[in-house]
Amino acid sequence: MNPTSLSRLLARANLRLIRFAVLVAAASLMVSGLILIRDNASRQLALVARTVGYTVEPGVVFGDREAVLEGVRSVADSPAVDRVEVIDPAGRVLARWHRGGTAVHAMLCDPLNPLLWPEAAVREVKRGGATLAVVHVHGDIGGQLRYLLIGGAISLVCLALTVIASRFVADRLGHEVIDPVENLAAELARIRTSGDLSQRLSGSTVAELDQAASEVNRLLAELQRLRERLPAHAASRRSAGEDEEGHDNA
Amino acid sequence: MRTGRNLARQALALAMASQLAAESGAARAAPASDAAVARMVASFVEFTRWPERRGVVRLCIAGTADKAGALGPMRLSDGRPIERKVLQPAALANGQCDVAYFGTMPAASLRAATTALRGKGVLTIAENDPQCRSQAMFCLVYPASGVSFRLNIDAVSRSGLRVDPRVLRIGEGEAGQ
Repeated sequence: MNPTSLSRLLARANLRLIRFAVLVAAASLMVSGLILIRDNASRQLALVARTVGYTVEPGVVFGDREAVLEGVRSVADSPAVDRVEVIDPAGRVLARWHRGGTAVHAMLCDPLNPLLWPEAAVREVKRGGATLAVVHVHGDIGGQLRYLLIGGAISLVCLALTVIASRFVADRLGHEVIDPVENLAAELARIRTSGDLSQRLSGSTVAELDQAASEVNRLLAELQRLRERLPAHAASRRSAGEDEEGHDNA
Repeated sequence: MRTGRNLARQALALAMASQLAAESGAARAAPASDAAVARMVASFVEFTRWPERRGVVRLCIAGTADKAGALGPMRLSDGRPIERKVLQPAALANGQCDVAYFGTMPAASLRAATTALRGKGVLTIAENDPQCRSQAMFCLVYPASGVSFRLNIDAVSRSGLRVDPRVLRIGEGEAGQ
């Protein structure tokens, strides 16, 4: 198995870390944003229901369905609202308004609206304590879908930018860390092949590598001293051996 | 022979269908019922505020009122009753009325009556003045769909009463001055 280079290991680890961080940040932002938007939309629906109830009250009292519908239309025409119904206590629909939209909007939102907005915002139209009608305002998921699409696109762009940035960081890391390591390895190889133990490693800009080079230099110095002492020791051993042979012959 | 009978039957059915359609059309275009007018008048009262709130709303009828049959004892949503009186137009301005409902009467008399009530805190309603030239605050009109009204903003502003502005949306545009 070929060992992987340090620069590649670092680049890979860097990329994974950045990708994970960006995805977690994007997901948490999207989820928190969606919760926030839904909460705001829910308040907006309640406000629309209240305003519709106030606006249509005279129309309900006068029994004028056109005025009721006109009142609903004037207030409820908002992207957060899908449809509004005004129903009298007997269950008769006094006005029903649907915002409508493009075919794509209908295809995407109509099946999802009941899931996100299972219950309508409800407001009773009361006069003198008696309920004259009930306003039902159903929400539209279009706003949330737009947020998801825009948020998703921004997350992807951020991810692409961070991948490019991680490549840049990996190159810089290689320049500042990997090059000194490779230099150290090259100098060691040169000393080994030359057999010249008087050579020393040059210092490094990386503190850990500089310390390692100092230790290797001390080791080289010891090896050099050993080698210098080795011929004298060998000669003395040789002369001592010859003396012993002379005694034996004598 | 049989074909001739079938044709005759079909012609008869067609005639009956035409008659039914004509009758239903006539029903749609029928004049507004007294109940619808009463509901309209009660609604005017509902959305009007008097400077002093009374426990009973006094409704005075003057002139020949053809559609006031249901303007009998009624109750507002807050429980206050509406009491009906029939008065001569000249007696309307003596403080006995909160609401003046004018039936058919000469234009000059109608105009004089509304002028006399101006600023006295009396809600004025004209039954038969579709152009609203009488300076009544509300003038009933009778479209095919039933009953509606015109609002005379000038008369409202001079009446001394406060009419809920939301009622403006309901009427058939501002009446001519």
